[in-house]
Formats: sequence, C-alpha cells, structure tokens
Amino acid sequence: MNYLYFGIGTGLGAVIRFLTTNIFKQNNLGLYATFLVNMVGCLIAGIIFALNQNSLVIVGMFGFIGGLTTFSTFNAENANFYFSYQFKNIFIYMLSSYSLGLILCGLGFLLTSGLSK
Amino acid sequence: MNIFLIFISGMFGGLLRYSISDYIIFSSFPLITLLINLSGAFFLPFWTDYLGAKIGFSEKYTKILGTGFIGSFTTFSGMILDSYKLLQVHQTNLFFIYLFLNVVCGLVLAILGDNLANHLNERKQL
Repeated sequence: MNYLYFGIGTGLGAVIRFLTTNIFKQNNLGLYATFLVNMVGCLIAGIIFALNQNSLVIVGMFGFIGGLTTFSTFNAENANFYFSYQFKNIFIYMLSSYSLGLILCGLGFLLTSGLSK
Repeated sequence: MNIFLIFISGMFGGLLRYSISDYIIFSSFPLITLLINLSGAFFLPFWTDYLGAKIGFSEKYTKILGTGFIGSFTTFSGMILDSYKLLQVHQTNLFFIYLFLNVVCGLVLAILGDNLANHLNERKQL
C-alpha cells in the first residue's frame, strides 16, 4: 500500500514540475522553474518530517516532494553554465539552492514542530 | 497525453528510488540518496544527449523519460532533508562532507555525462 501512495505522489510531483517548467520555459526562464520547485519541495520536506507520522498520506507526500524536486536537472543546468563559461552563475545557482533549501527545510520543520506543541 | 506519460514515468522513477532506499539503509550516513542522485546527475545529460536518440526515441519521448523518470529518480528535497537530519543530530562534519560530495560530484558527473555524450556523438559522425 505504501508503494501505491508513494508512486501516485511521485507521479503528481513530476507532473507539477513538468507543467511549471513548461510555463516558465515559454518566457525562457526554465531555470527558475527548477529552482522554484526545489525550494517548495524543501519547505514541504521540513513540514512533513516534523509531523513525524507514518500515515499513507505522509508517505504520499514524501513521494510527491521526491517527484517535484530534482537533483539531476539541477546539475544538468549547472553543467550547461559550465559549457557556456558562466562560472559565476554556477556559484550563484548552487549557493542559493543549497543554502535556501536548507533554510526552508529548517523553517518548515521548526514552525511545524512549534505549532504542534 | 504528455501529462499522463510524465505521471507514469515519474511514478516509476520515484518507486525505483523508494524500493532501493527501502532495502538498503545506512544508519549514520545517507549514502543511498547520494548514490541515487549522483547516478542520475550523470545519466540525465548522457540519456538526453546520446542514449535516448541511440535507442531510437524521438526527442519528445527522450525528454519525457528524462524529465519524468530520471528527474523523479533523483531528489533535491530528500538530499536537503538528509543534510538537515545530520545537523539535528550534531553530525556537523558528516553534514559538510555530505554537502561537499553533492555539490562537487553532482556538477562534475553532470559535466562528464555531457562530455561523454558529445564524445560518442562525434565518433559516430566520423
């Protein structure tokens, strides 16, 4: 049963990532779509980790954020910066993704565990 | 139609990650997420720029499998959550090692995957 919920969650996450990327790509902003979905995913990750439940809905949510966020596309975009010699952009994109991701994850965790006390 | 295909390929990518991490658990260091992410970082550009076309997929289906399957196989939020968990248990050294490996190896492997694809494409044209 866990697999069913996790799988459906992942599929939905992937579809939302795909649609977000398509919308942003129409304005040549595909990169910001990856950044946005990754950051939203990190925030939700902190929240559901703080809930500390094993219900099927939570399993589905973990599936969802796994499908929503992506490490492979994130690095492919950085590799594209490398091939076009935009080294400064690699630095900015990586620093902002990793640090803001951690901050949002921590924020989601702390706010949720604070509220549920 | 595209959305349905993305849903299916994304679902399988996520389930593959889920089943791997279900069976192999390292207690102190989130090695599995790291290995899954790094393999995906290498394989996505290699798949998009070489293997997908070689197998005979059209650009559309190569993209659908790349975005859906490999994109969902890897996870950014899971990696960040792993790092956060290391911080919570005061494993600061492991936290920095983990982040360092993700940052450096992720980028290097993506570049290598792209390079290998370009290299093989050039050889094919000779």
